[in-house]
Amino acid sequence: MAPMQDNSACDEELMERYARGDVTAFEVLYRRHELRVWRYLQRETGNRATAQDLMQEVWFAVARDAAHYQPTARFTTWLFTIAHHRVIDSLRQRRREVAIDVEELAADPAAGPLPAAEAHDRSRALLAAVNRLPEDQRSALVLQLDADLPVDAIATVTGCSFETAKSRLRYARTRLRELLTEYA
Amino acid sequence: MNDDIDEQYRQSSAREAGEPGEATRRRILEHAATLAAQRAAAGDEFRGNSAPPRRRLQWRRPALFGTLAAAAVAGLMVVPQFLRRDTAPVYATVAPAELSPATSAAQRQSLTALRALPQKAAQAPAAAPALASAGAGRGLASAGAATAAMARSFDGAAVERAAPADIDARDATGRTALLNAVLRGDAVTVTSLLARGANPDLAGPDGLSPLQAAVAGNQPAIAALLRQAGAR
Repeated sequence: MAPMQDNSACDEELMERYARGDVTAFEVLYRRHELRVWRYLQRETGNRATAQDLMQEVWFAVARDAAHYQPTARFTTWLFTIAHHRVIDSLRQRRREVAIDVEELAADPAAGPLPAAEAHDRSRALLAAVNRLPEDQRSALVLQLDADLPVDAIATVTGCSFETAKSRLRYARTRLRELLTEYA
Repeated sequence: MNDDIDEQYRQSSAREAGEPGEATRRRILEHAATLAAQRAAAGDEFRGNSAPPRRRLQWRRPALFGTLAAAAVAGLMVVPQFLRRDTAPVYATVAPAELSPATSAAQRQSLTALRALPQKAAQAPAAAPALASAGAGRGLASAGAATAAMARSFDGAAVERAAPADIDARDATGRTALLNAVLRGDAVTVTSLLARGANPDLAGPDGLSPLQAAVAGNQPAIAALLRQAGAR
């Protein structure tokens, strides 16, 4: 990708510039948030092909609705709200492949709390543990850790109160520790 | 503890997720560029430039309502003219080439002259056929309120109740029921009156016969009925 200009401009300013027809502003914006959105989609769907489809849908929506974007809200909140709804729609159509795999393994008494292959790789064990979290807790955690959203933005994106979002994060970490303790 | 897990997770997630791929990235950026170009070409100048069109729309709305209101008023003025043609005959203008006294009177739309025609006994028999040939298919001009007033007095339902002896009775204006029906352009009543034996030649006090009135009013169907009944 070509070097971007005006990396110091804030997201909202870049959106306004793109809304006025500045395509390079969109490129700056895309590069800035590409990996955060990608990781969020990848973690939530557990499938690379699905994540790629959703990645396109999310950014197509951003480009399409740029003219209607109101800078009163943080761009990242708006961006991940779009992404979150795309994920929900996708999950309604198809169960996450990773989650199904984990459930199948968990149903096997010999497999233990986590896949044996992951016992030698704490990193993969951690990701598998995240995948086993209840959906609301996983979404909150992934939005915080992959998307770098603050708690109030997580509450907005997932459509819950600030306190609920905070509780989900707390429960998610507690459950994550339990799973990793079982692994250890 | 949380910080450790969070950092471990971030590193793990980044390592596993990788990147979306160059193809996906290229499609997204090309799509964004295409949308921007389409908007610019369509003149849909995004949010910053979209306000002026809205202001223009605000100007157009009153103009649109004004146009619709003018059309409605015009309709209210024009439609009654057509409705009046159904209830009251109009007098025909005729071709300059047929300038008999009768056609000349009709061409001038002179109701007074038409009424005066039968009083000129020598011209009256020739006037009806002249008007009959001249009036059909020619342009019309309304005789306005005077014509409507001439047609106002007849009660069609009374025809059915009228005794044979009363069928040619005249009303207060001196017109027969048949003449009033002709002036009104009421072919049904004309048919009914003729079937009951109404005299088709009885003119009004101004000398205008039913046939002359039918021809002058461009009522060819009624004129034909009258001729079939022996009107002259």
